Amino acid sequence: MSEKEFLLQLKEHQNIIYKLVHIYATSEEDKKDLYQEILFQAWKTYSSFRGDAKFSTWLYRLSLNTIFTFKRKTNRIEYTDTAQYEEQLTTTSAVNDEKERLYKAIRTLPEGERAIISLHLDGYDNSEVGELLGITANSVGVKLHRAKKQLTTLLKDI
Amino acid sequence: MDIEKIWQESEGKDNNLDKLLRAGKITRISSRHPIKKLQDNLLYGLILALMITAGYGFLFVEFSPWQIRVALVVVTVYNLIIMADSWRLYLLTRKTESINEPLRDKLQTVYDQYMRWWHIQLRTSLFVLPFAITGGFILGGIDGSGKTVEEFISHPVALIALGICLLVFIPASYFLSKWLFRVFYGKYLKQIKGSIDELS
Repeated sequence: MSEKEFLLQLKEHQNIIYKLVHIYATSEEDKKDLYQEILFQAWKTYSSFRGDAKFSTWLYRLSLNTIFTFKRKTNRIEYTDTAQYEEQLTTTSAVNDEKERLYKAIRTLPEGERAIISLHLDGYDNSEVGELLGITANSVGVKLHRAKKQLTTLLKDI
Repeated sequence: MDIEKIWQESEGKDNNLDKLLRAGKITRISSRHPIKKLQDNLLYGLILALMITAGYGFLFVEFSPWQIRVALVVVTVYNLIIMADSWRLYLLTRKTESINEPLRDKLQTVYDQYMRWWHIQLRTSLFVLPFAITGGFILGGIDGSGKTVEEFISHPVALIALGICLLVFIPASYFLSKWLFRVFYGKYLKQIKGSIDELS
């Protein structure tokens, strides 16, 4: 496949990269680094794309693999209680749209749960998520339940 | 707030990403990925080891005393074994570029294999270092003094100096190699270990 064709495929699915980077990185510099790293890995390993999975699944797996191994620091905000978080979210809601508030809420989750919730929201079932992340479907179920509960609590009144 | 709806409808737009997706850009991107860094450093180490081993070959031809040649053979064989093991590790690291196996397993494999490779080298080097230091000491001694090996080591001062060299350079080389490992591999392995722990 030529660079042009490959770029076309990537452009079609760039939303996957965008969303994942935004739930794992906060600073512009970190986001830029992650974009570069994901695209580097994608270009280098495209030959391993066998075509028996969807391109989007392949890109999801590659992006997550890269993010998990490349990130240099945890971009997770620790809140001692949900009231503290809600107060902070309400303050920023005036300037940010719903999407940004959702990303922000997801960023409060542990890193593994962020991947699980994003895959779930993009329509992957528990066994597919487990296969992608190398954990059991049961474990995915437990983590997903916990993550959804936390997100619902954080976002319900906003 | 309908989380699913917002997520699915959120269209990402980022100039930095758009710029990278332009023709001609993607082929020029370089990587700072820890596995890629490990792989690169391993390759540079291999090239350096190859050059050093070639240097031993040159010394073997230049210096005929059997004591020096024995030391050179020991360190050359050791280098060749370590180089073969490093090449195996390099190929294994390249294999893990495939994203078809679960990430955690892949990271664990890389981490375990590098640690195994390192521990084997560190332990076996303790047996090889005395040969390397003694060989180097004798070589320097006969070359500097113009004496034969027998004449040179018959001097009590030379034997005392050799003992001091062994006492100083064995631990010094051991700790230097530990430090070098930390600089060239340790920080990336630490990063990988952090990811493994988070995925567990």
